[in-house]
Amino acid sequence: MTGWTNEATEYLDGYLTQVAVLAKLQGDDADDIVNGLRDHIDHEVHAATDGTIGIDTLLVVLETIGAPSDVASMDAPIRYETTSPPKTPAEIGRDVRPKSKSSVALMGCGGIMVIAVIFSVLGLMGVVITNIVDPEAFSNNVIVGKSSYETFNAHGQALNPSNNIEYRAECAARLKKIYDGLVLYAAAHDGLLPPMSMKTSQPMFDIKALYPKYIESESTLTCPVDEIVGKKSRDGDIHQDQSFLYLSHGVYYEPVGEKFINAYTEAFRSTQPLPDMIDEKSNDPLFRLGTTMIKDSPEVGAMMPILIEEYGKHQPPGGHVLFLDGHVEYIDLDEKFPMTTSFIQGLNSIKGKE
Amino acid sequence: MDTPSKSMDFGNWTTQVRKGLLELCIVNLLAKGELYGYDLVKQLAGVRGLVVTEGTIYPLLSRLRKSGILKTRLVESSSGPARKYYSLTREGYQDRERLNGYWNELSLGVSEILDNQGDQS
Repeated sequence: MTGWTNEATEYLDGYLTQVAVLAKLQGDDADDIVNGLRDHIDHEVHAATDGTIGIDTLLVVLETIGAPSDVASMDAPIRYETTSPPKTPAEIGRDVRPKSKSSVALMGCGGIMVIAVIFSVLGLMGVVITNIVDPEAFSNNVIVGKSSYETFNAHGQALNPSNNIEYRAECAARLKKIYDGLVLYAAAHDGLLPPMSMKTSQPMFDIKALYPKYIESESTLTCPVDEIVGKKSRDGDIHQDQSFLYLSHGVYYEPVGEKFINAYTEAFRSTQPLPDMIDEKSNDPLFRLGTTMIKDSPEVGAMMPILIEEYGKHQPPGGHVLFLDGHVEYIDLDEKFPMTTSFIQGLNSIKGKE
Repeated sequence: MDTPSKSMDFGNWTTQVRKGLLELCIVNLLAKGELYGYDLVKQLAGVRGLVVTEGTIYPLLSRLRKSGILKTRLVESSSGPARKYYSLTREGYQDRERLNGYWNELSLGVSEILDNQGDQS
């Protein structure tokens, strides 16, 4: 049986995810559409090659299938005729394939140095990975990652196992508290989550949106691991001592994530707020997240990350992620989006614009 | 094909026309019997002048199924996953009659206008 390369498999999954999300938003049966598409694409790629199915073959097929926004569009089921010659795989790849990680890695020098120091320290310490994960220690609706791990403070000191479990459980619990606050905020703001702050030193909402009205303590925004090294957050403002990176828009896939980073960076540069709909006319528009989506499309809510813990505090690297449906997941670095090196580094590159 | 006029959005006009015709084509293709989804889409994609992007047909099929015009059944396949076959429901056949009736009437009326224009020129 012909196999698929990992790159092609991941690309197809991302493509179908985009179709599913857009279809859901329009009230369509996403599973029905995606199953049909997957079957169709499978036919086409097998007709196109006898060998392993790679990204180039897939891209050529997807060109005839259509971009996700076209496929899911209620208004445009038919493409315009064109007199231009068919594109070569290389041209198509240039147009639609995700950028390489290196092209997204725009992290500032400061961030690079901090991460480098952390990893250097960890390497010198000869980290021993121990199986200390206790799923029972976590509240309901928290999904535990694959890895056993140790957690380190900013000095590279491993936390002892008992504390580690507590810290991790507490971090997840704080994310759940933030989520409750976000839901309350949305109820009072047309169902929308807070906008991105334009004053923050990292991708975040303005803490005043939640504190003191919807969360009891501003320290909720800081994980215990950060607290123990003195990274206390301060009243009424966001500083680099917050533990999480926030996403106000539907960022569920690497290329869309890159678009979000670019839009947010541009918003900082122009001092204009981030619009509710980013790149509306493109194939991958970005929309502001709202809680109505959770009720209307739970599956979509479950794939939309809204808060991401910075990954440098755990070994192997990874962190907690809060999703729009309220579940918290511990994700190893590069296990899946949004906990990918390129995306997190891209988000970190926005730091320091205060 | 004619060169698009600068005074009208030719692309948008043809898109609107073809959108409506796509449903007409689907119910008529299925009136002859059930079709495997992939084969149905390939046939539609091959309709001259319709210029369909293949992926866009699946949402339409899904909506037609939800609205009761089409029904589906899964058939086991020796070469892979079960295949979904589409066919018309009773409402689908009735819908086809209405669509065909309207199309015949419309095309007749439009043809008369076009023929008259030809006589004058």
